[in-house]
Amino acid sequence: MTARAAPRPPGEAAFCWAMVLLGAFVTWQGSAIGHFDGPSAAGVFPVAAGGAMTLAALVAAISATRRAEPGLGPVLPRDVAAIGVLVLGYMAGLEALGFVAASLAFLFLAILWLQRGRVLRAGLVAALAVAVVWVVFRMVFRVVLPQGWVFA
Amino acid sequence: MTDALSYFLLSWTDPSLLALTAAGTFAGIYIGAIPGLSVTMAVAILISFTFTWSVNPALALIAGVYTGGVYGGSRSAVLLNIPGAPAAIATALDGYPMAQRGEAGRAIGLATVMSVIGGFIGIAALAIAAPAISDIALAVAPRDYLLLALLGLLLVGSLSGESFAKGLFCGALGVALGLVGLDQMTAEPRFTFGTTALMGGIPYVAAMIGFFGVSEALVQLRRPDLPPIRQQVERIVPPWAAVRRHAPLTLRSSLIGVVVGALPGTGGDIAALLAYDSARRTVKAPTHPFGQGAEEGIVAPESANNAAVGGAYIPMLTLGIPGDAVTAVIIGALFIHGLKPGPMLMVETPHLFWFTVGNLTLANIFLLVFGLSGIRVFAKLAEAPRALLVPLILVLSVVGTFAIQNSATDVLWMLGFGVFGYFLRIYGFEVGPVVLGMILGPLMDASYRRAMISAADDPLEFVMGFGESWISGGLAAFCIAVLAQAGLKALRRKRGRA
Amino acid sequence: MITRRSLGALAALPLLPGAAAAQAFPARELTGIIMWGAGGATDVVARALTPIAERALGQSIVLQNRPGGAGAISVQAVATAAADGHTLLYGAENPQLHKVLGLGQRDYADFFPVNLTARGVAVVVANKDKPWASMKDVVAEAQRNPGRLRMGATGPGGLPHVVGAMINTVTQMRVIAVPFDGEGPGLTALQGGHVDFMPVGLGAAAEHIRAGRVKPLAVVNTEAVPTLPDVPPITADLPGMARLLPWGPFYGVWVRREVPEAARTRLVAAFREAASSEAFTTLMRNAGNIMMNISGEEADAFLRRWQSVTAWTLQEAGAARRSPEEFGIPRP
Repeated sequence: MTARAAPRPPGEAAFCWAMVLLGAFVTWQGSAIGHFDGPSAAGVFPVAAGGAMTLAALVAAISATRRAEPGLGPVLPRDVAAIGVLVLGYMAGLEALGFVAASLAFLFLAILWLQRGRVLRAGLVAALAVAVVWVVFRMVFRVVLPQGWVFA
Repeated sequence: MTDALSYFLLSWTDPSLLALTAAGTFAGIYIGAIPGLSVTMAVAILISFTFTWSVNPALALIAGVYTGGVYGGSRSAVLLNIPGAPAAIATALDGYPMAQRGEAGRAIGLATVMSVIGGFIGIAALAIAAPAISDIALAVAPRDYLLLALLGLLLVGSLSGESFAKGLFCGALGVALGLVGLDQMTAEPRFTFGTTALMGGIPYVAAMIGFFGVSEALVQLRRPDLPPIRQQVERIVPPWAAVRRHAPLTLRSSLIGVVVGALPGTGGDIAALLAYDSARRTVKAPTHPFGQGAEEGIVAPESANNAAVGGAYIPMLTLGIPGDAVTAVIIGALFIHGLKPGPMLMVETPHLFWFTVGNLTLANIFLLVFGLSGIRVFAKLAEAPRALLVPLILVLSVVGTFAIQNSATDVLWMLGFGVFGYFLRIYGFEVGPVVLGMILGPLMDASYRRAMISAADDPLEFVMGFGESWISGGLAAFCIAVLAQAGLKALRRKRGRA
Repeated sequence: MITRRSLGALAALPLLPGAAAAQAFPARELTGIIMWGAGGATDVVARALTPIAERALGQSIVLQNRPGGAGAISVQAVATAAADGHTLLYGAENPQLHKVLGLGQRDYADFFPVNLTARGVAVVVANKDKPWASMKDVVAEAQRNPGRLRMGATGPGGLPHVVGAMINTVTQMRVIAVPFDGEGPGLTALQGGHVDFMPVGLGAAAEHIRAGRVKPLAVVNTEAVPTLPDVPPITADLPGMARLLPWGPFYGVWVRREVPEAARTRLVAAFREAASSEAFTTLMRNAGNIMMNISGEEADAFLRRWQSVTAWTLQEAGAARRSPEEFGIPRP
């Protein structure tokens, strides 16, 4: 929605061709579902969806290749890449450290990086946010939060 | 009649019932606003919680949570582009652009007032026309659900953005994602790659959070230097003139909401999408273009999804058939409280009907009060610097996704969808159709196959089926008209370009 | 943490290994995983039973619905949780058919039955505008017009599917089985005239029968049931079915087999108390269910017989994907 106004980074055509492959893969997997023993078989919609994906991506890929404008700007700016790496670490951390420790660490580091410093504010916001989430989810709604094997 | 009135007013005059309805509505707004906490889940928890209570306080609390919850989803949709509940997906399409323009307060105010008006229309339909509407709901055949889902999927055309091919790709991708898991009809696994984890399918709330919320947060990071949006917080309550101008749309959307809500196979999410689609097709001069912050894009889904609450109660109270997932849980609650939900409920416990109508009315009044208070604080949330907002959105997305069914796999999916959605967005694909496909695809698949099986797998008999009832015939004619209109428009555009 | 655990181990030396840990059961709050979605029959049983069991245990049980894969998702989740008795499985009959339907490699043999709470009775109902008065009329019409009558169903392994297969083992009846998302949606379609008849759980149909909105043709039992005294048993028209009955869905609570003895005993006692409470038994009776409230060896015997009857019925009707023989399920 907001991306439309921004300049298009390079790699659109390659991405569209990758989507053609994805569509073909879905079609192939769909055709392997159960038995095609009539118009009401379980595989009818999966194959139809895969076919539509392939065709639509093909049209988009051809038009993107034809246009062949040189892209503008980076595909993964520094901030997106950094947060991406932190999210990966967060996922791994959730398994090991549990929700509270992993979220504290993630919030602290992510805020610290994005606002380029101000350790105290980052720490305070992280602690406050985790506390609020803990109270709302765990205490009020009794939802189970991810538990790690280091801390519960 | 005086009996009816006294039951209607029961929760208005009893202080404890009054307080419970208020508390339920208030809690419901926040349950709805937090992605991953669903009204269905909250009501299910309330059943154990209210096990020892008598039935009236339990029902008062549940009616409040339900009413508040359906509305609450619009908050996070407007502020963060994360629909708090599936019923608020359509609200995000124009609500979030409004917030990006600095009009978050106005968007929430409008959503509140429209939800309440829609809610009242739903209750009126419940009070006046319940038996007639439930007869219609029963007559709707599998093939008619197929047509309804098709109508909803046509929305992909208007959500495609720059390229129809890219929109179609995303819609089909959504359908494929929605079909993952064990097929209920044949018990054949579809796209599960032999794993048990995928047998239950991918919850569409996880996809919704990933594609809408996380990918938007990542896209925001591409321009970290942009200043936060200043939010105007004056004029939150929409002026009377605006309410009047939108009145025909409000009424039309609410009626769509009532009927779709009353259908046992569809709920507020599909009602809101259909109402939004109908608004896009019929409103000639919206306040802004649709998709860029049109007020009509909030009016239609918000009045429809709250009208669907009254609609969903219709078959539940008259026939003991749930109109949606929440009323299915409420039936369980009635049952546990020793009542016998079914067609005899209205005959044997007629007070329950008027008590519910009164309760829902009261909950909508509280909704107006709670909905319009505190908007200023919330609107300021959208003013928070990106450095704080983006990490917080990510953590909230993780918690919300985990809360759906305590599955770490779902969290992985959600984050994966977020990253995938980021690439889709930067290359000019719209993510709206993906979620649309995920919601409507499975309904379409199941209804089509049910209809085809009912016709003994004979395509000719399947087609002839559409002539068997006025509902099928009418819907089919309407679908063809809409398709023809869209086709003509595309043709004209092509000719104009050449 | 380490010191406390080692101290506990020291104190437990004279006792059996593991007894010290088990004595503290329940050490923390429990998790209950419900096999079906909110609002379904399994969910209602779980949510009504739990508050009473919580009181007896002195700990709370946090309930979660983990539907999907006809219960396979929940079975997998509980089977891979710690075997300390803190994770409960609230389930129905479905896992007993997962093997023959190719849905999974686990069934209740891998779990200890804490409480086999109640079982339901099936009833065959028809659209109220149909001219039929008994099961015999349905069978006759189905044989006159093979492959034309529409039977409401809920997918493979569901109650209508099994009852349909049972009928087919005693007489030839070819119908179209239209699968719905559950008994509720199927009954709705029946009332709308989109299907002609449907075997369903008595609990789901009782109120619709009482209001005269659907017509009961037979109860799937060898004798009439108290909830529907005037409806004949299916054996009146199809006496051959007697050897497969009594049959019906059931609900209960399970933990992993490996859970220590002491924790099992504590759970069994708590759930037995909950299931014998007045409030709960009234609820089950109203739903047309028959209370069982059994556990351990007695429950295991019931589960084995149920599996053997049902799996072989499906096999005979050609509805099983893999033969029960492969899994060592004995013939009834």
